[in-house]
Amino acid sequence: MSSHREAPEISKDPVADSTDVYAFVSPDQPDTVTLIANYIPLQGPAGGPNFYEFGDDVLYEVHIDNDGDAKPDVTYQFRFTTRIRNQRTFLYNTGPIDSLDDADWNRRQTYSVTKLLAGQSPKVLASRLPCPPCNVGPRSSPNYVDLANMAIRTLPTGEKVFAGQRAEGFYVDLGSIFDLGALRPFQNLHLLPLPPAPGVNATAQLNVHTIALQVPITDLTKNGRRPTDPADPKATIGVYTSASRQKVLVREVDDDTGIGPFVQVSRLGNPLFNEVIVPMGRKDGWNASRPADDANFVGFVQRPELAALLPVLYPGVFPNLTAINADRADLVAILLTGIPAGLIPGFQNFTGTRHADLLRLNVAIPPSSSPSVFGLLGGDLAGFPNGRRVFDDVVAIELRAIAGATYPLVNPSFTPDAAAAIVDDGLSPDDLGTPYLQTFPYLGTPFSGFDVPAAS
Amino acid sequence: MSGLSRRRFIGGAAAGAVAVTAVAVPGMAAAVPADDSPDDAHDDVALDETVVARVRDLRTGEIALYVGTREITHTDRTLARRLARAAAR
Repeated sequence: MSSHREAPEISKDPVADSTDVYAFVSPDQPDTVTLIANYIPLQGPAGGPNFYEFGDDVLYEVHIDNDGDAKPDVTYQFRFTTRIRNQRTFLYNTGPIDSLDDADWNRRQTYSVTKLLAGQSPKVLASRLPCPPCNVGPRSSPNYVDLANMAIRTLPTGEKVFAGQRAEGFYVDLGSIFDLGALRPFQNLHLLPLPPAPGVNATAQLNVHTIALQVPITDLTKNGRRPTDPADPKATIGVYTSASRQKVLVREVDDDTGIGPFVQVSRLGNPLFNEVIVPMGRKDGWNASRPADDANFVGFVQRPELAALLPVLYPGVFPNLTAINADRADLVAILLTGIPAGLIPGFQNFTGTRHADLLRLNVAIPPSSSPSVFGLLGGDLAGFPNGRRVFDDVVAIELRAIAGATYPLVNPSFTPDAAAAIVDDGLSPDDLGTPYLQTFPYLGTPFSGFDVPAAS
Repeated sequence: MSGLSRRRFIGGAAAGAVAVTAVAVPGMAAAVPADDSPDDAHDDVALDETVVARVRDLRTGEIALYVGTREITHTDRTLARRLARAAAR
C-alpha cells in the first residue's frame, strides 16, 4: 500500500505507522497549502469498545523543507492526551455523543500543536484542541458530520487544524498486487494467468486517523512570499511526516514510562517509496533514517526491482522496458530531486541535486479546474508528483512510471511499451464507497461501526 | 475526570526517588572488583524523574543516562562496575 504496514517493525506498531501524506494547494483556499498525514492503517469501523486513537506516547510531525537541503525548515508537532471520564465502565460512551464535551463520551483525546522553525525555539500554537470521537454508529454518534466539524479549529496564528478519524482515501487492490504482482484487469497476461476481472479495493470502507493542517503559503516558502511563477526556484517545498517514540520504555503493572529522546520509527514522503522501492532488509532502517540521508537508497530507485519484475510477470508485454539498461534518471527526478525545468512545459518542482524522498509541491501552480486522477501523467500539473491530492491515483501513476511511461523525459528516443500507458489495478475513487469532501479536511466522513461491516 | 494511568509519565513518583535501571550491560561477565561501598552519604541531588542507566562499555565506563527526553553520556568506570556488579547478583 502507500505506506500501510510497509516495513516489518512498523507493521507491529500501527499507532505510529504513517499511511499516506498529501500536500496540495487548497482548491477552495488557494493562498494556502493543505498538509495531511494519515496514521493507524486499515481500521475496521466496528473495532470497539477500544476504538482507534492516536498514541499519547508518539510524537507526530509534519516537516517542510524549503531550501533544498532536505532538512526541515518548518515543522509542526502534534502530541495527544487521552482522558477517561468514567473508569468504572468498559464503554466508549454511555449515551449519544452530541458535542465534543458531552458527558456521555467516556474516552476522549485532545492535542497540542507546536511549530518549530529551523534555528528557533519551539512555539506552542495551541493546546487542548479536541479530537472528534470515532464514528461508532447512529445511536452513539448520531450527528457525526456536525461532531467532526466542531473539531476543525482555526488557530490564532492562522492555521486550520483537524485531528481525528476519517474515511480512508487511498485505493489499491492489495489482494491482487501482493499475489505475485497480479493486476486483475490484465491478469490474463500474467505468468500464472486467470481471466481478467475488475479491481477490488482492499481499503474500501475502512478508516484512518488523520492529522490535517491548512497553512498560508507564505508560512512555508523560503522567502515568506506566495510565488506566482512556476519557474521560481523558491516555489517548491518538500514535505514528509514522521512518527517518533522515546528511546526507552519501562513497563509497570499500571504505568508505562517513556524515557529519553524521541527516535524516529516511521516516515513517509512519496507514496509507495518504502513499500515497493526499498528492499525488505532495509525497510526498518529507512524508517529510522532522515530524507537528507537518502543517498543511501538511490540505487534502489535507479534500478527498481519492480521494473525488472514486470517483464517476468507479464511475458512479452514489456519488451522496451526490458531493453532499458541504464539508471532510471526519470524515477530519481520524480522521487528524489523533483523534476527539473525543461522536461515538462510549464512545470518544475526541482529542489536541487540532493537525493531525498520528499513529496515536492510547486505552490505557484494553482489548483486544477478539471483535475485528472493521473496527475502529471494525465496532463494535470497540480497533481502527483506535484504534491499529492487525496484523489490522485498514485498506484497507477507510479506503476506506469516504473513501467517506462516517464523514461522519455530523460531519453526522448525511448518508446514506452503500449502497456505502460494503461497499466493499473483497475480502481478509481468510486471504489472507496464514500465521497471526498470539497472542503478541509477533504477526506470523507469515516464509516461507522454500525454500518460496516454491513448486514448480509 | 481521571487521567490515563497506563500512558502517564511517572509524575507521581516522590521527589528525590531515583529509579536506576541498568539494562544491556555488555561484557558484564568481566571480572568486577568487589565493591560493596554504599552510595554517597552526602547526596544533595533531588530528582523527580525516572532515570535509566545503560552501561554501554564496561571497560571505558561509558554509561548512557536517559531522563525526561534527554540522553546523557556519562563516563565513570567505578559507577559502571558498580552497576554491573549489582546487575550480576
